[in-house]
Order: sequence, then C-alpha cells, then structure tokens
Amino acid sequence: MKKLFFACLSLCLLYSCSEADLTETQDQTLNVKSTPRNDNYLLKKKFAIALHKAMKEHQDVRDFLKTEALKKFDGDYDILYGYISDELINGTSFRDILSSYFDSLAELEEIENTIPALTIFIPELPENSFSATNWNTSNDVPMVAIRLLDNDKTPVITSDAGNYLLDGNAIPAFPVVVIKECERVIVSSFPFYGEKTSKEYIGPRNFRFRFSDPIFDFIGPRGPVPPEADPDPLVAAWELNGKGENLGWHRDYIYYTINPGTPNGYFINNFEEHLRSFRLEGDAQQALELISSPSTVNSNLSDPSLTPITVSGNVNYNSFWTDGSFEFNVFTDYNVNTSVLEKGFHASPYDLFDIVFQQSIPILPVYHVVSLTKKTYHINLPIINWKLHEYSNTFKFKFEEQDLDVEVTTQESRQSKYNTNFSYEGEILKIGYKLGNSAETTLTTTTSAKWHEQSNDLREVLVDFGDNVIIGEEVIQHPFVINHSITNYAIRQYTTGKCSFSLVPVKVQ
Amino acid sequence: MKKLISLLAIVSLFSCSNDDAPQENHEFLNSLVSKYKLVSVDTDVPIDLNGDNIPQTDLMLEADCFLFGSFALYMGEFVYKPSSGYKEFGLHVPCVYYDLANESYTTCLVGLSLFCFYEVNEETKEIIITGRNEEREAEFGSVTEVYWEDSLIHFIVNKELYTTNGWQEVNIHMVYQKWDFLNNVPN
Repeated sequence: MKKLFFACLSLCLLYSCSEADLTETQDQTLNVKSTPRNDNYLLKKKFAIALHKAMKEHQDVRDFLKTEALKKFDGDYDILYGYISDELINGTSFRDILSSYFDSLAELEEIENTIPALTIFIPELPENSFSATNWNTSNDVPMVAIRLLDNDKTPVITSDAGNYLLDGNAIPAFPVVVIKECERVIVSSFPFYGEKTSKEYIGPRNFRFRFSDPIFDFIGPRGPVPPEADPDPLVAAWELNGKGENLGWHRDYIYYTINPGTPNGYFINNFEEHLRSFRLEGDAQQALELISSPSTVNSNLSDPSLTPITVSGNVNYNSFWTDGSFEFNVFTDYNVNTSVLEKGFHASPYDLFDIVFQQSIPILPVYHVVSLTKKTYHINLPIINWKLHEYSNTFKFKFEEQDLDVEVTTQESRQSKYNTNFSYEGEILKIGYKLGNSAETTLTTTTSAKWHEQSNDLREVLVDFGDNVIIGEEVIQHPFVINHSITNYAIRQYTTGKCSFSLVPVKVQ
Repeated sequence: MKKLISLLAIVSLFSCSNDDAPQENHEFLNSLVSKYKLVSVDTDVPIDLNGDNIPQTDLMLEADCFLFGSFALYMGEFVYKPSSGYKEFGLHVPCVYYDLANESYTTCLVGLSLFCFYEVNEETKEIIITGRNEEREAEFGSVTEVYWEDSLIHFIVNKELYTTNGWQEVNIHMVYQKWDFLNNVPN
C-alpha cells in the first residue's frame, strides 16, 4: 500500500508543473490571448510557414512577390493576397503553389475566409539593408514576420531555420516580409462596406474590396496633382487687411474678393482649403509610441517555438517597420446637413521623424533606434472649399492615426452657426465683410462623429473662417545682391495638442 | 526502492518552471482601458446658460446650445500601451464658443479634449495624474481629480464657463461609463 501511495504521489507531483513544461508541439501549447478578429496568430503563422516554404523552393515566387510589391497598388509595398491569388507564376497560380504547402486546401480557405484583408508587405529596413527595390531574389529568401495588432513583439517565422520573437525595439537587419492586414482597403465583409462610395475592385472567387480613401487607389487612374499654393492671393489678403491690423478676414477676400475697400463680393469657386503641413506634437518618443504601439492590453503571446531576441534601447516602435507608412485621417465637421468629411493621408516614419539607428547581433542582426527627432511633414491635401453661404462659420478638424479599417459612427442632433448675410441673385453675393449687416442664425439637425476601431486619437481643434491665414512676415535682405530682399510669410498653425497643421486656401482653377 | 520513490517525489516538488513566479498585477489598469460615454455632467454651483434665469447644476438640463455635437457625443478614453508603458486618458469637456465675427463669447458649448498622462495604484485603485498639456489646460480647463467609483470614471474639471451672468469659475463633475461604440452598448 505504501509503495502504491508513494508511486501515485510522485506521479502527481511530476505532472503538477505548468503546461509549458510539457510542450511537445508548439500548436498544442500555444496560449494566445487575443481576439480572432484582430490577431488570428495561429492562422497567420500557418500562412507564414507555407509562404516561407514557397519562397524557399521557388525563385519565381520571390520574383512574383517583388514584382507585385513594386506595383504599390495602395501606395505602399503591399500585396493584397485575395486580389492576386490567382495570378499565374509559370503557369501555376500563386494560390495553388501556396496550397501545396498546407495539409489541406481547407486550411488555406479558412485563412482566406477569416482574414480577408491578408496582405504580404515588403518593408523598407534601415540603412537600405532590405526593401522591395533592392531585394536580390536570386539569393535572398526572406523570413516571414507577422504583424500583430495586440502585441508589441513581432514573431518571425521560417519553415526550417527556427522561429524568433523580436522585441518591440528591434528592427530586422535581414531580409524579411511581413504578413499583416491591410489598413488601406476595406473588404466586403467589413461593417459599413456598402456605404463606401469609392470604386469597387473584384478579384478571384468574388473577392471584393474598396480603398478606404481614394488617395490610396493606385490601380485606377490618379486624379490631378493638387497645385502648389499660389502665394499672391494670400499675400494680397494679408496686405489688404492691414497685415497685423486685422481689418477684415483673409478668406472674405480669397473667396468673395471682399476687403475693407470693397464691402460686397460674389463667391469665387476657385479656391479650396488644403492641409499644407502636419507635425506630431509633444515628446518625440511618446508621439511615436502613441501611433506605433499596439492599443489593446492583450500583450501575452506564448509560443514556445519562438526564440526571443531582445536589444537595449528604450524607444519602442514595434509596428512601424511592419506597417510601412502610417495612415492618418482628418475628419472635417463643416456643415449641419452633411456627415463629417473624411480625408486620409499617409506618412512614413521618416516623414515625421529624423531617426538614427544602431545595429547589433543578439542572435540575428537587428537595428534599434538611438535618436528620434520630430519634423514637419509638408503635404498638400485638398479638404474642401469654404462656401460660407452653405457651411458653418467654424470648422472642427479631428485627426487620428488608423490601424484598422473598421469605422465607427455615432450620431446626434447639433447646431452650427451660419452667416445670413448672403443674397442669391443668380450669383451668390456676400453682403458685407465679416457678418456684414446681418446676424448669424443657428440651425439644428443631425450630425455624426466618426473614427476607426483601434485608431489612435490625435484630438481636435476649431478653425474659424475669420482666422488669418498669414500671421506675420519677415523681410530678409539678400546677402550678396544689393537692394534685393525676400519676404517670408508665416502661416498660421493649429494644434490639437497631439498634432499640429496648417490650413491654406489654394487656388485650384 | 521506497527511498528512491520518496527522493523522486521530493525532486518532483521542485521541478516546476519559473512560470510559477508571481506576475505583475495590471488588473485594475487593464479594466480601465476602454472608450467611455458621458453619462452626467454637473457643476458645483448653479449657472444659467440658456437665459431662462433659472440657474442649475445639471448641465444636461441647463445647456441648450452646442456646436459639433451635444453631450451625447462626448467621449472619454483610457489608453495603455503595454510595450512602452504609455498611459494617457482623454475626455471631452464643455468649452465656451468664441464668436469671432462678433468678437464675443457665447453660452454655446463645444466639446474639446483634455488629456493627461496617468499611473494607477493597483491596490487602492487610485488614478494619479503624472503629466499634463499645460497649454491646452490654460485654455480649456484643468483636470483636478479623476477616480473610479461604482464602475464609472469620475473627472473633476476646473474651468471658467461663460454664462448669462458673465464668466463663472466652476468645478465640473463629469461621469463617464465604459462603452462599446461599435455596438452601442456598455462595455
């Protein structure tokens, strides 16, 4: 009896340890705390293994991926799997090649159905060490990283050379492609897909998608490049209104030719407000952490097959190398009778920061950031023309950095104030500068607030029609030419506290 | 043989991995991370915004002029980035609308964001403000207190509001509830 007791006791004790100690295969012990919609780590890992095998055994697959990435169908080196899966590589579809590396076609189909926006991304790694442009497909078989939205670390998968888990502050210094979900497209299974009005593209097996913003559509014909701001009307508005004396409103002159000497004017439909510059605010490291670190709290990824790679350095920026450029949205609330206007733009980390890297080789060669400085990104994003006779006196601009393309909208009734000093005599005549002879009126109707799931809120600020566009000038004498000077004009900057920008009326026709 | 089995049993007792080591507790912090919906907003002193000469403290009853959304669109958020330890909360607070054309303040309200960095005490469930945007607070008000009570987040914001009796300094008690805006249900 005693023998039996001690035998049982020792057996019980043997098996009293945590499950991780009894790992036999990685799949049985995987403990991923994430929501399937945002993570799907196991499925992405299966795809990554198959992709690595395909790249390893077929140079023409590597050639194909490079060619597809260089098309930059969405403005970045992304390859939307569902859209190109039936493209032929020497007579065999990319999908058929991949499916041969799964246990069954059903496994691949599960991935396709669960992760419809599955994307293969070719990152631009520091110091030009690897990119779609310089990928030597004859020699380089990239590893496959998996971008996780709910984790600061990045799994790097191979089919034969081990798997790794990169710390949040480590950037590969070796060839790697990334499995991710594209933020620049929405697919037909996403909420509010039917409400999008951008062009629909259709791929094999009725795969349907739209771009989240037309600026990301590099498949269809591109619209005209927005013109650069013509300074003359802006300078004229500044000077006619007494420069710093603020005798009137600059936009009264720009949109209605109204100035202190000309009190009435017809609407001129030649100008459009443009976002001219964008800059993150606050501490540089915190700014990058806000837009690049995962937003959720499920940061536990337990896959025993992954060998951790950690480096020193306290700047954590895990997602920007796996994501490519950051996608930003600016929401403009301008009118009680229409929904909020949404415009998107993208900026690479190198557009927003000056970054200095250092390389080390903990297990694999990696970079980490040693210096980070914010800088102003000059863009020329058309927003809307300010028809004061139709729109509010005050616009609200709200910014976000977008990670997922799942849009959320809330609605409520609200009020905005309008100028009433307009008459409609064939053409639209504004009577009087500023408010002229009439008062404002307040209208009430339904409006909405919009943002995207898991986006990073960069807050909001108000802009008034009456705000000066130019707020100062500086005359600089030419150092070598006598009696020759240059005048620099300071453009008004607005800040939300998280980002700042300038808004300038630009002549578009 | 008995000794061997006993020895085996003793060895087995100490064979467990480091997984048994205690993990840092972030339960309260993780429970805060969410978007929030405004459920109540009250001032510490009665004020008159709607011009009916009946000052009251419940701004949801008192305020009748809004730009870009009434209190129903006010949102709050607690953000936590585990990798970097980045912690920040933000909330919409009612701000006075300045009428540029008439160069005068109004009793209309605009919801604009205040945000602060924070830390938490897991044991006492205290929320401690560790960093502010002073420039923004100078314009929109200052968060003087934030606490968790009865599954709701409470903010006390000190600021000035323009009333029918001119400028008045008030402490606004704003209560936010965790909310799933995608499905429009409590979170």
